Amino acid sequence: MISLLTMIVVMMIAFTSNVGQLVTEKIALQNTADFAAYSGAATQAGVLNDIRRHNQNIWQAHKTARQILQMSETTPWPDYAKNKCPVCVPSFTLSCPGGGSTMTNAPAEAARNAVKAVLQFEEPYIKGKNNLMPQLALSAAQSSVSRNYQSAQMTTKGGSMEKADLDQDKIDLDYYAWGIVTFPTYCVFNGQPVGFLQINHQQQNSWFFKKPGASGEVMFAVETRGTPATSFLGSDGGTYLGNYFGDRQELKAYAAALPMAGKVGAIKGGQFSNAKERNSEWQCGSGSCMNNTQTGPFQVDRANVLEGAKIRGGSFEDYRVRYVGIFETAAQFPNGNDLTGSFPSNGVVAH
Amino acid sequence: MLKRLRKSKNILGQSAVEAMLALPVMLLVYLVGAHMWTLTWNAQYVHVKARLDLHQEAFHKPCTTGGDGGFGSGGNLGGGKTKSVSVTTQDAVFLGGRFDAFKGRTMKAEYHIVCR
Repeated sequence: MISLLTMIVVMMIAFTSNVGQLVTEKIALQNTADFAAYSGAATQAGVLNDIRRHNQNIWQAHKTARQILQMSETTPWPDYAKNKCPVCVPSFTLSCPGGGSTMTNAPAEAARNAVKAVLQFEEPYIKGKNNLMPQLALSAAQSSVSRNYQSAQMTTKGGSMEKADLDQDKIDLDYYAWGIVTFPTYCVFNGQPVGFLQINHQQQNSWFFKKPGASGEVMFAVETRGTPATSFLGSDGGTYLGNYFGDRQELKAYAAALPMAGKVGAIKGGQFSNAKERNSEWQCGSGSCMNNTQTGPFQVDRANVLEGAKIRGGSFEDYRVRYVGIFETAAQFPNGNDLTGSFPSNGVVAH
Repeated sequence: MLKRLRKSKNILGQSAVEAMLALPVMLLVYLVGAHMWTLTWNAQYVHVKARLDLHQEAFHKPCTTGGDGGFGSGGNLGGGKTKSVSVTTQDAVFLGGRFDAFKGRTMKAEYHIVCR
């Protein structure tokens, strides 16, 4: 009787140990999946914030340029000011060269060139960083897994290896310039060509922003797999008591996280609201936000119009990180068939 | 009636000896069970505690890239390297730590968030 009781108690201890060990391993594996997903998403968020920071340089260059170009509306404009080139002045053609076309203006061109120089540096940097983002996130997640659960394997899921779908627009860099009409209009007083005010129109690339509703968004989802140590009274080959207590099967755990609440750059034409992720676009009222008109410039664009699109220090926030839902199977991941929670099934999240 | 139920002195003696021997054996078995339970509890405790601590430290923070630490509201993970926490606990000591198997041991869990 005592032998029987002892045997039962020993088996109870064995089961307790086995279940405890299995639960502990599962907790460790789930933690590993969670922190791998967090590592990937936090790295993605860091890259997006870096892009955002460099976007700000583009925004600042445009705003500064517009402030300079806006001066062309007020005379005297340094070199070819209205008072130096009045209509019907005989010396007009001498002091205002470039007859028959819009004249160039040294300060204005310098302002435009400053924007070009910034774009020349920032555009390749931002594109390169965006291209590198999937590899950086993967590397962070893999390193996290190897530190947290050395023998675990990791597979990325959903759109984890996609980069941000970025887009640009064109921003007007216009200024008033004096031109002359040589034919057929001549000044009736002296027969000289007639000077006129016109806009020198040029556009440059804007800062980057994420395409509204773009497919291919940034998130990081992982599956981790690990096989716990052999069970109590079990065996590697299942030849001894392992047949009763079972050898360890591979465990799986899932996790997904994504950058949230941030903005790479203001989107033109949108309506700003305080929503963290959606609709937090650039307030523009009516028409185009970036430029005065959709079809062509009829006046010099205001520098302060860009203020609503200020990328850092304005209305938009840096990216942070959050987890997405709870996943028990791979099918529940983005691009799977049965994703739970609010994460859209096609993997699209507005940023 | 009582006479029929009464057992022989030999049998009574055997039961007494078995009971006397069984007591420490059963006590030992229960102690082993309690020790196992404690190990299990503490192992899970350190994993869950480490998870909680690391999540509380991270709390929505992104990695730092490009040398910028200017995140206003949430801060960042700092340094662009690794954020980690380590939790340790001591399990109970049975039998006064007389045997190696029952000596209290340190349970430890450490988790990392890695930035690139």
